[in-house]
Amino acid sequence: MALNPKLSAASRNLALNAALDVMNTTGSIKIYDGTQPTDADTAIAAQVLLATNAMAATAWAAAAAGSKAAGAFTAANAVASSTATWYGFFNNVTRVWDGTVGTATVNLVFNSVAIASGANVAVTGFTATMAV
Amino acid sequence: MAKGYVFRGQGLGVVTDKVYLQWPSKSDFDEVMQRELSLHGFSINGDEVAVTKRWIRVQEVELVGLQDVLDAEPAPGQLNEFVYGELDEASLREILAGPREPTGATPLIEMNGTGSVTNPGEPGYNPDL
Repeated sequence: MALNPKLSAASRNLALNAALDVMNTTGSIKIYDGTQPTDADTAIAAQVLLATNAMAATAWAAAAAGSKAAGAFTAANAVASSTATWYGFFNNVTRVWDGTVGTATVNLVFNSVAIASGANVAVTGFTATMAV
Repeated sequence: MAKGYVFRGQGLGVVTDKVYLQWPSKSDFDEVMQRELSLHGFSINGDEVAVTKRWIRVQEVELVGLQDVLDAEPAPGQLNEFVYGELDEASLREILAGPREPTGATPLIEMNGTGSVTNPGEPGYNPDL
């Protein structure tokens, strides 16, 4: 018999809320260049911080139907010039969740990943969806 | 009680287990071996295989009992027959259907975001966000 685990919507909501609500109050997303670390517990080394977009006090709305939407992000001016390749969601100074940045087939899609210092960097929406 | 035989392809790590209800034939050997060789860029009918002849010999004797496969690593070079008790024919048929492939392409949680970058000099640029 094939492997076929299924999780209820209620349980998926619980998991998403537990994982992401830690960003409430002090959440942000930071955009970096370089190689994405192996995981969110691996320290950032030579990667350069390009921009920081603060999240709203309620960083993520309550999950529903196994999906959770982020609140508004504050647009910011880039603090360095480079090519954006990955991001990290932060709870204050603690990195929580990493993902890829690009112009297609990535976790965070920008119109351009070539960021010049001072550029306007905006995150216009983010959704986390847990598979059934 | 049923009896089965497992050919375990062991190149760079365990790659393939294939179970046979009957003692595998030469063509069975060849089929599994070719699958294994293909992973290393060789053809079983190619001249290059001569280079790996020793390796092939080792593979050929790595027939182990099903219980060995399930419970422990087989002793290299041993040729074991095993009569297993609790495994019924339906279970064996399931194993015969092939290894279970994880559906790793689907991440546990998908993260999808959108954003924009407006560099200095581009329309709509704001230097004082």
